[in-house]
Amino acid sequence: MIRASIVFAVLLVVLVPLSLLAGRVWIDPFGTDSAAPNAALILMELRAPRAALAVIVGAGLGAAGAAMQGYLRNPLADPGLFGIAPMAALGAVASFWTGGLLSPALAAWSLPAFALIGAGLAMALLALIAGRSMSDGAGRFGGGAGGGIALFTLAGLMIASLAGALTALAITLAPNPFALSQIVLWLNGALTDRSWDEVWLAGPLVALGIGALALAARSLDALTLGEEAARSLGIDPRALLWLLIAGIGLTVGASVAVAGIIGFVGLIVPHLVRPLTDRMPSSLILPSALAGACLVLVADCAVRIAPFVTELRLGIALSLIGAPFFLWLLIKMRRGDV
Amino acid sequence: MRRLIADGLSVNRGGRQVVAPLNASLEPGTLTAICGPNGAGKSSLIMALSGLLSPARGEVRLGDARLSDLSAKNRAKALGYLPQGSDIAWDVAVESLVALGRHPHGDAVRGARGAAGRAAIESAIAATAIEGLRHRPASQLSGGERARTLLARVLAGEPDWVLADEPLAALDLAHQLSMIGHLRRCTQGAQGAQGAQGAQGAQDGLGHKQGVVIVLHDLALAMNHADRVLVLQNGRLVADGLPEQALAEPVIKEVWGIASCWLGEPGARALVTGPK
Repeated sequence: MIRASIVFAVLLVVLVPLSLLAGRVWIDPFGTDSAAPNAALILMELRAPRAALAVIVGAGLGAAGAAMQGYLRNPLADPGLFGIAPMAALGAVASFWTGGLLSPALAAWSLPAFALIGAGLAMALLALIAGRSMSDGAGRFGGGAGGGIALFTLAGLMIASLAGALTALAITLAPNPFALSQIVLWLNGALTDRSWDEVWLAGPLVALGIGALALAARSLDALTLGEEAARSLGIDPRALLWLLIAGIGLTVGASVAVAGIIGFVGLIVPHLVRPLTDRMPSSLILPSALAGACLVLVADCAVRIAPFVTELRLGIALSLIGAPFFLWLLIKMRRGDV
Repeated sequence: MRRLIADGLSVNRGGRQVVAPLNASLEPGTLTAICGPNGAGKSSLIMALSGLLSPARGEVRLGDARLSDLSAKNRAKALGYLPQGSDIAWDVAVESLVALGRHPHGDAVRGARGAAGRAAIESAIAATAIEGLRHRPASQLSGGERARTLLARVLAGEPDWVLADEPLAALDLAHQLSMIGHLRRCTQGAQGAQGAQGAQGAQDGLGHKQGVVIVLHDLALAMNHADRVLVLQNGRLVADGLPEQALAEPVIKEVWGIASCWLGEPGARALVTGPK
């Protein structure tokens, strides 16, 4: 864990200043030439908050992915499985509807606020289900072969698909074509034109979330041996689940609120980190946060530099890179190299 | 060391009674086998004894303390449970897997581990003879090595009681015997004495006679190696006592519906089965 953390921390320290220089306008750190007269302004008001957000969002999604894979004991798990991201997206889409009704000052905050409310609703719903599916030590549903976790995951998937359906409904009923394109664009995730406000909003929430996931880390290790063995080691499955709901809800909810849906980070990052660690779930959380930050930072620079008329959406770009990469990883896993 | 007592214990699962009220007082330093046909409630009983299933009626006590009154951590320190199967989710090295057993003591992670934790892990590794596998990832273990590693995980927690659900399933004859030998040594307090760490381990091990409860399908192994046998049928305790009594031919006829005959000497008996 320490080795992997150092690798990605060093990488991040190198990448952050580089990302500040990269973009449509390249900034020469040594030059005082007049090529970029607004360099200071671009740096401080555009690129620095954007880089900070990339780091925050990436760290949150990476840590959430590592925790999720540990909890479900499955390397194909993704933080989206709990239905938090779709619910946050649904909240954000709802804000496009109500945005016109609010005063401009409030309207600016309505999107992240609604997204956070959506994520909070998903968390409350999950906690309610957790309380029931994990009631009494053994679980009402038999407590046998992994009953509680499997059931809970299904419930999360249902929340996700319900939120997805409602989002699709909201899109088809969009009040006007402009709102429609706004919604679709936003759903694809981006870090364009973000300010320090979003940084101050998402930063503390993601930090809290990663803290909750770090608290769950030891229990995730014990789950390596299965649900029953973990309980015999003194793990309280309900307490663990609540920690995870809080951690994943905060990290993913805050990320969606400021950046829209950014897929694949939570799925891929733990795979990049795992070979550098002892493969225990607890060894993955911190390095995955750092690696996720690096990944989103690099991807965001790439979409900024890419020579398209309009900027490529970050969410789309990550899926474009992520899907083939993941396929390659699966083939490699099958050959037993990983 | 404390006794493990089932007092009027019954267990329900899915709204159905799977273990009917039973009494049993298990002595530390003994190896008790739970036998019975499939679906007789053996796993449910051992899970209830481990505190993983709450009793429907009655209670499980550890010495004077009710299991339900113990904190999860204290229960985990006293009762080591080895589930059926050998499910390992991640390709973790053997030593890290064994160290997971230290979880209730709070030193499952290397950085947090003191001398006592290290000694416990070393003696568990020595007691199950997996010194050579220390750095081997789980995916490269054979069935027997896996079983020994998972037993070492339980032993690393230094529990008063080791409760194992079919620890010999899917093992060949030689591995079955070596596994039961490892379990037998737990009851003799020999776990620490074999420890590679020497004095520290030996001192801890001396007089640390653990109690062992295992679910066993092989009646001959139960006959030859257990101090006591509990026979379950449809959730009822139908025989309880020394192996010769609890697994006498009439009991086997009654419970399994098989005519059979024990051959050989005490301690080296074989079961010959006839037609139904």
